[in-house]
Amino acid sequence: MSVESSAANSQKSALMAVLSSFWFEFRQNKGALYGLIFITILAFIAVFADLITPHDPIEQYRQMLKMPPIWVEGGSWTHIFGTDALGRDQLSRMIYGSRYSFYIGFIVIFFCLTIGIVLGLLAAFNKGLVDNLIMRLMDIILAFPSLLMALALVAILGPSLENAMIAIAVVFIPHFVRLTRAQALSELGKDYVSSSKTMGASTFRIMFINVLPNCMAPLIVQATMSFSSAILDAAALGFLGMGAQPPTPEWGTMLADSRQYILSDPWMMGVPGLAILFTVLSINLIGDGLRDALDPKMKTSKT
Amino acid sequence: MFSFLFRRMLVLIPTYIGITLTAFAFIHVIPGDPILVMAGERGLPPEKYAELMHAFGFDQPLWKQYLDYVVQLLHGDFGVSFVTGRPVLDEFFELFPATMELAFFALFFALLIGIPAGIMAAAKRGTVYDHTLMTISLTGFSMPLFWWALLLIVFFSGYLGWTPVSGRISAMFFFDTPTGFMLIDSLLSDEEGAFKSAVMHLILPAVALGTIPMATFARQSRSAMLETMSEDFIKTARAKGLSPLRVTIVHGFRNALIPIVTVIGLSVGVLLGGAILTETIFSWPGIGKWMVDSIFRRDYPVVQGGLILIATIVIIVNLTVDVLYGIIDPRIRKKGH
Amino acid sequence: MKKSIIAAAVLAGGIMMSGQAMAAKTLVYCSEGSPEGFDAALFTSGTTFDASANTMFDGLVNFKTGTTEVVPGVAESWSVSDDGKELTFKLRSGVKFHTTKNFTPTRDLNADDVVFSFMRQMDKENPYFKLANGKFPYFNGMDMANLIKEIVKVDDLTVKFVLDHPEAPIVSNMAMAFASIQSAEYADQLSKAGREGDLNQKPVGTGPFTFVGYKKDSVIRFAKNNEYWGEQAKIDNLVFSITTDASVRYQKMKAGECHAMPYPNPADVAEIRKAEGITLMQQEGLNVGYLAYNTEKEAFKDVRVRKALNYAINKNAIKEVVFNGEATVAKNPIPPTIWSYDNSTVDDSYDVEKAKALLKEAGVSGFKTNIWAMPVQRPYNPDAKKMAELIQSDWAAVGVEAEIVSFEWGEYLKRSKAGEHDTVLLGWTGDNGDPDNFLRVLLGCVAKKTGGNRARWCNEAFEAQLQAALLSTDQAVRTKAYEKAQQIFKQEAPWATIAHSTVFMPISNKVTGYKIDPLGGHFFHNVDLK
Repeated sequence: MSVESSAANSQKSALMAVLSSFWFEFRQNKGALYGLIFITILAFIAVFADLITPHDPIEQYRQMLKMPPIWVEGGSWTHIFGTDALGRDQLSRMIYGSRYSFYIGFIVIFFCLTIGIVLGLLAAFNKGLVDNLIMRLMDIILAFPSLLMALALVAILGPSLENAMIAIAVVFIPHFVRLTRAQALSELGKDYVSSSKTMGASTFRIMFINVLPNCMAPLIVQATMSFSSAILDAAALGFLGMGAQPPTPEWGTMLADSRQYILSDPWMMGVPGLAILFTVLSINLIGDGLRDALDPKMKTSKT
Repeated sequence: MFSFLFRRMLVLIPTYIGITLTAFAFIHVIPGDPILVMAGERGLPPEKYAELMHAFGFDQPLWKQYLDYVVQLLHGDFGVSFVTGRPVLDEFFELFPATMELAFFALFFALLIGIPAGIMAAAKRGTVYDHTLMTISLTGFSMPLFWWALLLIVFFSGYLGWTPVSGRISAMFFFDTPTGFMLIDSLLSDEEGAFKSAVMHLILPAVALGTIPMATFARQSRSAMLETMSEDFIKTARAKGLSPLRVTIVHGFRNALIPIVTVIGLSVGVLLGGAILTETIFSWPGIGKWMVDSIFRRDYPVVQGGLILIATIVIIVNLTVDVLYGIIDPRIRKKGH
Repeated sequence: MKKSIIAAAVLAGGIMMSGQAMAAKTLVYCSEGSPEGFDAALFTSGTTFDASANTMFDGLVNFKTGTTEVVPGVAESWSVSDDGKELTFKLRSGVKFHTTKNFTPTRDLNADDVVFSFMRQMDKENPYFKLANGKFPYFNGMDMANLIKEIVKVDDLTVKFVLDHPEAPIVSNMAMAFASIQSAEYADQLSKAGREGDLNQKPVGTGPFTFVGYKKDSVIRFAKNNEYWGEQAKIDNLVFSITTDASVRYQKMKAGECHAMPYPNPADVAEIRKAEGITLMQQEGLNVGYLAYNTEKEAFKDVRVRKALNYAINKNAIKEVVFNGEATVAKNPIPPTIWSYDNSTVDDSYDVEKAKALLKEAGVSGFKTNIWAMPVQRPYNPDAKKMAELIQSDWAAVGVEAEIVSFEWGEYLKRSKAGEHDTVLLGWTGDNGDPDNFLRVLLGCVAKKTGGNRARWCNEAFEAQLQAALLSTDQAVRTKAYEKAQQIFKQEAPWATIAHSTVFMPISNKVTGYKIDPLGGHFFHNVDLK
């Protein structure tokens, strides 16, 4: 238990040791490793989208509408994943779409982490009114099914990808607040906190320098899982007409928009559907790996 | 036990006030109003529009509308749907059993498959079984739900023809539904084949909706099992020479129950949220679809009433879960929070 | 292999169905949504009319099934006074209201029922007016309260409508859903019992089918009305199985779970045409999809700009992509199936060079604008977002940069009504087959105020033609005026007319006698099952 706290105070080499032991643990999990490889490749694609797309993602090839992908009869090498109903190159749209997936995931967890940590720490350090106020607010948000809540929020803000992300972040935040608060409370009772206090450290310092780093492990796991949930929820909002607006090549919206072709051209849903599936799956696998590697309890269970 | 419950209930009061406020604010802050939605492409003469806004009280200040609403609620009156003209409570109680039936069987499916899969994966940790089971469950967890539901229909109903496509029962049957639960009502109806039809109609939506909770259960029961199995008393039991299977199930499972109960509690929100998509695709006449339709139609009374009722259910379930904790593990009760 | 399995499934489903249908003929119609209620006067959606007016009610006059021709309903004849201000209906005798669980009529339909059916929509003291808070959208939207001065019961079987001013389409309007005849006797009984809401929940009409029951969002059941005054329905039971998703609806059709369905996915039309056991009926719809330029915005005050943008739009591409080729490219604001359609107008055909030249002449180069795209599917526009994306790309080719904007439906209607848009996609499906129902509702000066006129365009010459046509009952005079109006419209180009969509109705081969209604309704009165 005290391994972490002493590590935080020690030298760089110790940090390296922690990281390498973390990496050792993480590597044990083959699934997580595959997930990481997939996401790394995807990140690479997203960053270099401009260089690798064969076509402009919003260029409409009106002579080649709904062309099937290469592995289906009638496909062509000029459009490897085929074209959509407007004749736009699916592959190029998928490549650009990967950017939006990262965009959604990162923005949502950024909001969740910052707001969730601040509120969670505030609640943990101010037992009484502030704690009660924050936690009741979170109870209220949690009392509504998240998708319903997000739907209502987007209806208020107006349908767009940004507003969908805000709505998703709002419904995810309570989990982060609760987690931070619970972790912080259990840390507060420990020796190192009381010794910092007696040494005259400010509350702010105790909050963010002493306590927070020791709460990070479960938060990182939660953030990873929220990353993938955010992508799925954005797709669900897209399905209900409340997601990204055209001509944004966002995967969830592409999936929802091609719904009417599920019988006539099933691959049109298949391409973005599988992309979402693999991405979300990879992130979840990474999340599992992180959990195993970061959670000390799981470590002991291995021996 | 009683004081524990009492304390939990006390906390609910401010939460509940917040819920009514949120539910009310939501639908009123959303731009657009029901009168315009109703008028559609044609539009309305401005005088007539003002007259209608006044008649329905939509031109009152919001705080006044809210206070009126709360007073109404305290009398147990949830108002009347703007669109259908029926009391919100009547509509809710007509549709809620359908959602409950669907959610119950989705949960049943999730538990039936998820927990044994998790236990098996834990028992065979690190083997091919473990990896396969966990990858499958994680895949279920990673599917966009509406796509999954459509694929199920296209494959099982369209291609194989095994299950009916949508709805709760064949359109050929029409009988009174006193309980609202189709499985029970179909048995009560004395109509031949009605029960079978109801069961067949339930399978696909329950599988679609149960997929995500199933994956959660499988993962959760696996890690809970692993954790308890590493604890001393299991090691002792093993040392005593009890059979591994017996140890796993009898000792391990009981201790793994707490996290699983937590997940069941959390799943209710997931199920009600997922019900929105599942019900839309399977034409399942439940409250998820009702809420979405009402949001789009700006049916103020239905949206605010429905949100409050749904939140009430979620709260009741969470309370039940808390009580269950106390029963399973008395230590938690003492600790309080 | 795949085919044969599906065929077997269809067969199995079919056998199951016919097994039960042996004694009674039951037709299952997979409808596209839930009715809002069963009193058509309270609502605007076609889905609601199908479940109410089109199955259970009659008007004073009806539309002959499959046409926009007005034929006698519960009124056997009618006459219009010379000044066009008095309209007298002679009612049919022996017309019986439905006997239901709730209500047993003691008398036949008479003038009181007709007076009640309309007065409740205009008399502020009527309990049914109060119950609805005066929310009668068609009656209000068509400004009927200002048109009808008085409704007089001349005798038991004669009713006279006294109008404020003559209005030519008034007789056609009487065939619309909102003008369905309700039972005054039933209404009185309910009113005494304090259950006024049942008029909408437990309907009683005079139509070919009676109401059996409704399970919310799931199924509506009707039975044949054995006492119908006209030709009786040929099927014994009519079931609406509510199925909102179009792909799922077609799956149900294929699986033999329903006999007919409206609004297939345009993308599935090709497959449905080939499907075994299913016939795809189709007809040109009485509708128009358009893009309205907000003529009050600086950029669109200049007719050359509007014309130029019209030339820039490739309507054939829209037809292929959005309608899967199943539509007619529109050149006039009214569909070709309506009388007075002007064949001589010349469309602004796709011509990028001409568009560029006109823009240059108007002195605008590379301006920025927006295209509003509806968030909902409509028969006149199955996918507004795709349509907007096509237009966006076409305009980009002439140097006009357009942003696509969408709001949620209620908000969309409100804001476009207020004129916040630059250009907006919308459309219209006819209510009564009269050109007035398109031109004045969508382009008239009054409609600019009420919001129906999204181009916010009020042209004196155009308006004069509409008024001339409105006041005359001479078909030839009216036709001339509407033709002139269409010419003016084309010169002024307040809209880019996009398309008139084709209406499809896949029905099982077992169904006979079904006719597509040009006004978009679904009628099962004359349908039989083999």
